[in-house]
Amino acid sequence: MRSKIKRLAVGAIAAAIMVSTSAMSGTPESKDPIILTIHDWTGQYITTHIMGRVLEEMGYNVKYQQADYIAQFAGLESGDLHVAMEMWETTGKQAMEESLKTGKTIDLGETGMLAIEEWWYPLYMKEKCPGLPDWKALNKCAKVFSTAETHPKGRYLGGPVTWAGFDDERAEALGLDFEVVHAGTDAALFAEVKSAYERKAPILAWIYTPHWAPIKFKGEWVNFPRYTDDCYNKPEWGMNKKMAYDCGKPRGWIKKVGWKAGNDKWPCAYQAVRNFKIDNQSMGEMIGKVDLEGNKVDGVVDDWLKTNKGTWKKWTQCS
Amino acid sequence: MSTAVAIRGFRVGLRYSPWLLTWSAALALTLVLYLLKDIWPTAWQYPREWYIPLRFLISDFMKWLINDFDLGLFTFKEFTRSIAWLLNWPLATAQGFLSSGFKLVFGEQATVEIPRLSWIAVVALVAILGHYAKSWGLALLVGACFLYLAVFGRWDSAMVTLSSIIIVVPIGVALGLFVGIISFRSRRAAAIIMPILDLMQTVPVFAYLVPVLFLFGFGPVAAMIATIIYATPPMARCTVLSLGLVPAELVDFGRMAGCTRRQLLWRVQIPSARPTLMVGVNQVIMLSLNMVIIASMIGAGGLGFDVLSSLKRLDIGAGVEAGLAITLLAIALDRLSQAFVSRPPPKHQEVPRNFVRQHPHLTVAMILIVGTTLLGLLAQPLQAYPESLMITTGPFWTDLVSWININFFDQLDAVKSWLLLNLLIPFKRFLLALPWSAVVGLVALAGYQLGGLRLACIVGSLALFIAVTGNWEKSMISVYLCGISVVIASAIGLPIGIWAARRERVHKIVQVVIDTLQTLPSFVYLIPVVMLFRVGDFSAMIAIVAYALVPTIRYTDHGIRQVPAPLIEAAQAFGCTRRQILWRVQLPIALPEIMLGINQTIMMALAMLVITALVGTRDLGQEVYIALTKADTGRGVVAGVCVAFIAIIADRLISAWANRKKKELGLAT
Amino acid sequence: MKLLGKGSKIMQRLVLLAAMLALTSACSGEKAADNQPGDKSPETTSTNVAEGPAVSVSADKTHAVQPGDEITLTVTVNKFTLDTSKIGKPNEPNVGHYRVYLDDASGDNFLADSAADTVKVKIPDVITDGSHQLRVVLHNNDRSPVTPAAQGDVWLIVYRL
Repeated sequence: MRSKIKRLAVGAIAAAIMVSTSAMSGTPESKDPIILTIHDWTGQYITTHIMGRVLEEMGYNVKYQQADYIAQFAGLESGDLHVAMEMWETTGKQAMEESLKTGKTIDLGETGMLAIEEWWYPLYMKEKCPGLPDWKALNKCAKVFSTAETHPKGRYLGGPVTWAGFDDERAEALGLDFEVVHAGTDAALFAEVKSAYERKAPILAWIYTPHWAPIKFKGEWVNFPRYTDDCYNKPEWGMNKKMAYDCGKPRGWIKKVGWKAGNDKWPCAYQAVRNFKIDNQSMGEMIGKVDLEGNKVDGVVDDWLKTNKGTWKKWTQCS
Repeated sequence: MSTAVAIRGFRVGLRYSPWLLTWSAALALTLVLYLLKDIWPTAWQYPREWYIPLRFLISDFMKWLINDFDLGLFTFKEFTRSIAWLLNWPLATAQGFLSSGFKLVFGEQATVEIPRLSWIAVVALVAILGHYAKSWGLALLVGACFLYLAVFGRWDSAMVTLSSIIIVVPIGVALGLFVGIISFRSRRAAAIIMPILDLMQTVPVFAYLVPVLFLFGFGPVAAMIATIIYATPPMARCTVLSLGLVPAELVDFGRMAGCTRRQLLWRVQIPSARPTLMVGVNQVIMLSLNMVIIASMIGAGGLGFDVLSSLKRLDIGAGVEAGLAITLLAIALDRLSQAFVSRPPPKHQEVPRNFVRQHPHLTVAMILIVGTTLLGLLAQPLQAYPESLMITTGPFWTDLVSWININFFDQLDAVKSWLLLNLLIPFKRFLLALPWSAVVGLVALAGYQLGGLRLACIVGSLALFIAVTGNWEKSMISVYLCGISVVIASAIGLPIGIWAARRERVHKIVQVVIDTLQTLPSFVYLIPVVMLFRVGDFSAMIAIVAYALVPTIRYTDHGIRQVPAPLIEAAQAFGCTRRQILWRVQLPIALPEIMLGINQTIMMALAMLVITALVGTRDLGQEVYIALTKADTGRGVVAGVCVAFIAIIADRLISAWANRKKKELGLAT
Repeated sequence: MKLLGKGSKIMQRLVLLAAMLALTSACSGEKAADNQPGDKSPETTSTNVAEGPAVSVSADKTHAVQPGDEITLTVTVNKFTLDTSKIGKPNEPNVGHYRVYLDDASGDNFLADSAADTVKVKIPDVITDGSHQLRVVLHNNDRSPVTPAAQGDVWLIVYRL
């Protein structure tokens, strides 16, 4: 009697397990998890999690792995990591092109967002330095932007050395009386910007968007001569005939990049990644909700997915 | 008698005139080389053509190792990846229990989810452990620490971190024990292992992070392996030390009783060495928690990631709370492990038949686990601490820093500018102006004076390595940063240590403060420091001073307290005032111990170098950090080894000096 | 007795700790309620005047705005009536229209004046890259600004590509 009940119970549990199937349309090509890389800024976290959730809806297994922005290329080439959702033309262009040359990674198209990273000053500096945003006004105001350590040269706080950007070369080529100081991390960079902004003190720093900083700190970007490829590659170009980098930084795309073999392993998933498109407006609003209003990221991602079901459903259609 | 010896020891140093002459000559030579720098630049600045491109060799080696090295049956890469896969199992299990629950997949479509342990269960379990180990007091303390995690919303991250720690610590302890036993038994093994341990402890973590990443892939397992490498050396050292401290009579008795070597080890030596071994275990726990933030940079997640990401958003409050969570976790685990060690042996009682009576703790624990898990399925608050009941002090800290920033910035800036222009920058320029050949020579000379030819060769060649690999200028900047920080840390720490040694109450307060300072992740106070003092050497220096202050205070306090009481009584009998006792008896005798404290301070200052690279310095720490972000193994390893060598040079020279002083004072062990 | 002694010491410390935490979270509770400058959401802000008319604005595009773009603003008024037919007529209390200004512009230097619920404004071609403010200011029928001043604003991030 006891063993009969036992067997019944086991059978019932087994049946329950069978019944609790998750409804899925279409079987993914492989159950191996697709690994999406996560960095440490909110925008990228949002982009990646939106993509991850869509892939999960399609039936794929998704895993998120934290990795460093540039170091991740090693993982993408070896297949430890599979998809990186945000490679910025402004800073990641060279690293991405080098990686694509190895043939082990592929370009998965633009995300639709457009980035700008440039020398920036708060709005209250406009009265202290009339002539801004023209870059030529910088030299006249070098003393205004100077500190005890850099006096009489002005002080520009650039990003970490690993972001490249050629600011040291830029200052030299354009003959700016400024010392380029590199913050060790973006956290240190923004800590200083925040400190100066609160005190309405002079600051000239590297600020970029999409990001929470230009939403929170009201300011303007310095107007350098417009970037062209020649500016970076040919010294003869531009106002300084002997040096290159006499212009601003490129403005442009944010692309996705992925492990090449993954395209054969999960073709439909990769197509969905290619289809992923989001604009600065939606991203800016979400970043504001998280970084400035303190909402939880996952909640914000949930809301976007609910509101934009039609949009992301289209991404999932692969031929 | 010893007092007289001590006083004489001081004067003996002054009478070493031959050395005085040698040093004057050496310094004069340095000056000459500097003045001749334009005529003979080679001696002043190591020429670029003579660089040995070690970093490229290492990078190429790593690439070959990962991509091409074939061991026949499998590639090296597969080998390391399989180790990672193996380590993933215990980690996944621990995470399943504590943080994510288990997902059992039956076939293609069906999954069964088993929830993780409820927060109530974990808090209660930990409290039960505390009671089992020691007393209700401990149970309350440990339970409160874990309760903090829940109440302040850090539970999920803390559980991720805890599951890593639970796996890392036993592995670290076992490995350390094993290595320690081998070194203890065989002198030859010790000769090889000890330098490797030195390197493991002094090479900045970031430097071996990149090779670990390459070899073991991204993820929590790589972070775990890096943590194990970082946390194991103290355990090994402790093992060697403690086994050496086992009284010889005990070992003899064991032999007489007929123990085999293995029995001798496991039944006699290790049990009697237990107290000191537990210090090692404690260190492993502490260091693992120290690594938490760095580990999160390569994928560990958890509390370290919380600290990092909140500070990147300048959410100082959240950063402080997450940092505090790490500290409380460290304190709880530390007290628990210590309690387990000093547990008195179980009293021999009549064994009750009842299982419940015999294992009261186990029964209560099991009831709690099952009960809360089942109830948790029904009522969500029992499973996961309800968000509505969470509190946060975050905005308070953020506002505090903003307030200080707005109101005191100018004063702080003035202090900083004065120090920078009058102290820091001149010292930096001075160090950079020294000719490399002269510095190598002076270092070798110091080695010769303190330890003979052998020491001179060691420190000389280490210094030469730095020049040869092309890192001279950056190393000098590192030396300047650490040097200034150590000087300032000593200037602050020595008086505090002396004060704490003399007054018991101060001692207690100071203990708590330095414990917190050591376990609070340094990144937490780095960001407010940058807000107040801007990016640059000064902020880096403050961060280093805060971290490196602790050993100075500890060792000074300890050293002065260790001065034998008879000595002090003798001095009192002679009629010395308290002040005289301090200056003429306690300090001279405690001097070797204090110097060891300074030594440790230097070690910690150098360890902080890579953290300060996060602020924005242009030294070796920055090199390592850049290498990490660019995944350039060679660059990172070489720069890291240079840091290690600076640490080893300082350590060897100071230890040699301290040992000599001890011998002179008659305190030689 | 000894256990009690030890326990009470730990209890003391815990009570102290709890009191400190309660205090700091109480302080944070107050602060969390305050709005900090610069923390306002980019889309809607409104004046803090307790009585009197108030206006709030939202825009359809605030990020990556290009010079020459057309932005649609949605204007919501409180204690005020917007009436197109009354523009230019004698004043009436709490009746009128609004003007849209860019940054510090004032007087007749407006981008649009209207009394509709939504209005389209064109961002001028000559504009700097950076943060710009669109201010919607309530005006009386006779085209004088409402006093006390009632305005709502939106911040845009503008940059050329």
